[in-house]
Amino acid sequence: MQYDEIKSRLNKVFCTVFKDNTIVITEETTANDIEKWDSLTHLMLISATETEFGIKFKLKELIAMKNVGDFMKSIETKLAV
Amino acid sequence: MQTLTDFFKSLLYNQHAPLLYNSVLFCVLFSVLYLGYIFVYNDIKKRNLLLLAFSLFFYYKLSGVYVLLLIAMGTSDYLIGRQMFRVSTQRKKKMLLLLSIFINVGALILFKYTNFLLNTFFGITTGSGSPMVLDLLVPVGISFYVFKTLSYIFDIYREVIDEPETNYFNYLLYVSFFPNIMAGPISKARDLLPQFNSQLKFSSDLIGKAFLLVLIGAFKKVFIADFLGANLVDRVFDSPEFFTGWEGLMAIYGYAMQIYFDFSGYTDIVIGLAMLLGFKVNPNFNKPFMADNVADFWRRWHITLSGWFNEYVFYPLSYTFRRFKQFGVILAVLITFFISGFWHGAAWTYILWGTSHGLAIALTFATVNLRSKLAKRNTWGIYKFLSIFITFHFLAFSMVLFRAESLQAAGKLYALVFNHFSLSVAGQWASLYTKPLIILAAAYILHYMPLSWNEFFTRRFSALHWSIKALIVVLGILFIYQGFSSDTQPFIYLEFS
Repeated sequence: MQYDEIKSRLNKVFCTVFKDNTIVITEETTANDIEKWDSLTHLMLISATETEFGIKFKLKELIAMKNVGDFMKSIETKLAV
Repeated sequence: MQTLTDFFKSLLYNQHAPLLYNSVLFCVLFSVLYLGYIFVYNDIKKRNLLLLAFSLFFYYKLSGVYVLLLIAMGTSDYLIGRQMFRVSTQRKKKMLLLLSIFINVGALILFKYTNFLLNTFFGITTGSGSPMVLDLLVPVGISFYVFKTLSYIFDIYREVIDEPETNYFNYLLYVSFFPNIMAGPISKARDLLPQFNSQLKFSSDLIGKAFLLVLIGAFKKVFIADFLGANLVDRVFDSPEFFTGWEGLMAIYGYAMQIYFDFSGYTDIVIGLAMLLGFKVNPNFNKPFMADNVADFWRRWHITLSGWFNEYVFYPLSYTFRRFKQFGVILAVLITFFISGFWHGAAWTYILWGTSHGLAIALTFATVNLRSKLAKRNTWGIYKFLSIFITFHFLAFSMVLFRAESLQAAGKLYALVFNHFSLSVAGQWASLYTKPLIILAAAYILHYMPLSWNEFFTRRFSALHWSIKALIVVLGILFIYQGFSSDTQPFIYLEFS
């Protein structure tokens, strides 16, 4: 799967989880940029992403992610395996 | 000669006279430490050894022979941490993690919860209390230093820390660091340990700020928290049957401010002391009663504790439950706050307090979209104001569980406020309690005043000539000293050792 397609599908996941169609993610996006993204909604986002791409994240991988760019790279790596 | 003998006697452990930051003895000892520190702060090794020696002595003065327990627990996690980097398989690493949890949580349960668990067990099985009560003193700060040392092990296991601490004395200093050994703020190893391995930067600006923080902390403690406790809160909480619903409500409002000014005053002193030594300890408060929901409150109150629970309990739990979607997150919140309540104390009042906060946060989470819609519709700030108002009242009323001796005592106070409330006594109360009312109003104004005001005053103080700063500090100490009385209260959060 191409990087742009991952980004586009992930963007839709963000819009669905945070119930906000105006969200546009970038590599630099962090929880500080999205109003409803807090520790409570974070795992909803992870769960929805896992379902969308048919992948599973490890806890350690999630801890190491600093922004959406890291998130997308991790998805890309898992899909390539 | 007699005075000198008395002084040396005062250096020995006395269960009834622990060394507290707001004592004259501590001021004397800290001054002596600081004099020595000035000569060695540039030499990392000597500086750390001096701090370690003082920290261990400070802890001995607090908890006597339990200083050996502190050293033993610090040593075990130092060794486990190093071993975790040596083992080759994930399974062995996990075994070491479990060993550390067993030692730390085991010690916590043994010293803090044994009697509670025995009572609960015999209560369920025989219908009466435990036939034996173990005479165990809780080692001061055990709940806090266990969290510090566990954070080191957790971070190694999760590969957040890249290399183990190789200097045993530095690690022991991290665990026993005297400014925050008693009641936090809980410093994570990844924040504090690197500072012990670095050169420190001092400036007159930093020293000025540090003194100001210590003074502000002492002021909060003596003139607000202790005053409200002695003149408004204690009498109503201790004998609610003698008071009206209005007085009960004022005592609840008073206690919210008492505990905030007590704990934040303590934290200011800790941060100030650490700053005087050149170290940064993370803050614990950010105007907690400005929170517009309970989840927001926990990002503003005892920040280092909620951060610890969020990172090491809630996050792994919600990760495990994530396939249950919203229900999984709510379950993780409830378990986390149940544990948090129990951590605060071995009593049903704390468990109910923690669970009530868990339920309130679950409600916050379940209504996130509804609240977001309401907030967008409201343009005059009424929604925001109501959110803060309702959240504050939930918090203030739940704090009754913190202060009450038992669930029955808390129930009495709630009954007083809800069943015997009349506004007609407010005028008479105000004339009888003028001083506490003024202090209470001042406390609320100080809490709710904008952060920019705090920053303005700090900037103005920093800009003063050093001689004026020194004069203000000396006058401040004298002023606060006048406020000390024989019934100066110990810091409230020390109860949650």
